[in-house]
Amino acid sequence: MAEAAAAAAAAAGLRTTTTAAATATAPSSATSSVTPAVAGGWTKQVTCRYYMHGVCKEGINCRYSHELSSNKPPTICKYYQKGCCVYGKFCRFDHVKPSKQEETNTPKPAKMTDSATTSTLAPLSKLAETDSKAVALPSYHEDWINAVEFVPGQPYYARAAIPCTEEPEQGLVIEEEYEKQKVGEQLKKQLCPYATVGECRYGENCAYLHGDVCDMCGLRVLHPIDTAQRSQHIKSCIEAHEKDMELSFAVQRSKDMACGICMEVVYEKANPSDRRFGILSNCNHTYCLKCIRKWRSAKQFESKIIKSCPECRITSNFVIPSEYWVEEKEEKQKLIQKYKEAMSNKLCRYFDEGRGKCPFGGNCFYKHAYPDGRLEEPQPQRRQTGSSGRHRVSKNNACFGGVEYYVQF
Amino acid sequence: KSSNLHIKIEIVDENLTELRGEIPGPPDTAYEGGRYKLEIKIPDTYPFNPPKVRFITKIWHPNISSVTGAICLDILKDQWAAAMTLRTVLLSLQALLAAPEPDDPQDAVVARQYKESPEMFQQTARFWAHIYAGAPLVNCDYTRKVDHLCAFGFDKTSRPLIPQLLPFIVMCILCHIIFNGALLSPQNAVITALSSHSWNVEAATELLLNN
Repeated sequence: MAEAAAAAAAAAGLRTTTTAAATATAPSSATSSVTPAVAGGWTKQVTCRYYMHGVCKEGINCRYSHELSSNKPPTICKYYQKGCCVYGKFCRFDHVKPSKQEETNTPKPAKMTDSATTSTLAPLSKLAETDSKAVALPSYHEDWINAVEFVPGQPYYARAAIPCTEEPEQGLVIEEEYEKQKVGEQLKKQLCPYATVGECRYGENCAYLHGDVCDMCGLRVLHPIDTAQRSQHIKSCIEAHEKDMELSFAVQRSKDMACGICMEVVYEKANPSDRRFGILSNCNHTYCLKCIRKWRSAKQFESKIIKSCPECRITSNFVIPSEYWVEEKEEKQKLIQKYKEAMSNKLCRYFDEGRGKCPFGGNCFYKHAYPDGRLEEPQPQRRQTGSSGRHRVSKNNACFGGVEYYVQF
Repeated sequence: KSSNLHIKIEIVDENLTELRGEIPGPPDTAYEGGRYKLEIKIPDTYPFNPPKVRFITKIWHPNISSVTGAICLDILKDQWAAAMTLRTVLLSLQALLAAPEPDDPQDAVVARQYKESPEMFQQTARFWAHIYAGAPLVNCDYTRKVDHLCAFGFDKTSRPLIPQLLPFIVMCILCHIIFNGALLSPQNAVITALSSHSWNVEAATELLLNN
């Protein structure tokens, strides 16, 4: 008990020193305030880390300072001077404009001297006042619902009402006006990157522009003034939306399609790489790419059999690999076109840059180019009788093991 | 797995390499009312290769061997398609029973009979269906109102109504006398012999004796 009392006394003594220190925002007064703080030692010079985050268990007995701006040497906020301090009026540093030194300096020292006098004259009342946050700490659970959100790196205030060290005084009003005039035009042109992707934690206080909400994407990305940016964004948003819709329709019509050979739903195949369709050029029966290719490369049957659809027996000359099920005529044509284009950029392995001979000649989907980039002249196509010739080629092809190569047959 | 109202498939082997199928004889054919059991063997390469199917139940049909039950059907050979299923195979077989292809026969004797004496083919097929597939004899022209037990020829009055059965019964008696009942399956041999020889008792007896 005695110890506790002593500690309390020490704390009381300390409190005066810290409050004195608190007033000492000027370096000269800070040095003078260090001397009486014998009992607490140097630790009272240091702001309690726990208190900063609102979790100090020691309360008034803490060996460290519970004064949030006590030990900071008076520093001018360099961000504010540059024109943008994200902390706004909550900044722990002085928001002083270099050009307006005289104006802004006056209110600040006045305020400090004011607090200094109160603390020196009535230490107890000051204690009660400044410690209202600290004292409130143990009882914060009473209205924890209204607790202020804890933001790492920022001082935590247990009370819902955020104590503002700087009351909006005359100087501040001037500052704000100044801000509006000078900084406004440059800064406000830029959209806040946080707000555009979701939420900006500075809300109204953000130095950057918070755009209007786009109806399409729901983000605050529309510049309030820049109409070109607005229309540009809306356009791209609509395009993206259309693409999204197309994709979801494609997925929708693909997701239940089952392969006619393995009978499995293509999108539910065990191996994700097997979840592709092999679309026949001349009919609309569904197969997974793997199955239809396997069937079309079967050697035990006649070419006419394997090149026809296993369901309807309509002959298709090629299979188009596709992520989505395509059935509609126009879309299928587009798919075939795209596929042929992609193929025509790949060098034909049979032609082999002029060294070999391609059995498909001018009908080959692949590129027939010589090493110098010159394309093969179209030759009169020798009519191939039936399917036997092709069949033999497809047999050879199995040895090729080429990626998507036998598709052309 | 797949079951129409009529066709049936049972699993024989745990890993589904062997199955047992059953199809009913199609209506308005000689096979009507009969149930035909099939042996189905699934190859490893299924469905890229057809299943191997054979009739277990004996049947008198140009495209099915009367001895082994082997089937001559294009889709079970070179016309197979990977999208076919056991269900479609069994339905195809049912269709084959309804529409024989005598020009592409499996059993030449049956095919010849089918082409040369369709009436006798019908009666024989009907008889086989009755004996092996459990088809009733009710629709047979000769046994309209006769109980099919009587049709075996034990009733004197019914005998003239079923001239086909007459040689069969004669043969059975003959077999009993000749082989002293020691024949392993005299009935099958007799039926096959008679069927193959247009129900000619002498020819069938000669065949049996030569064997």
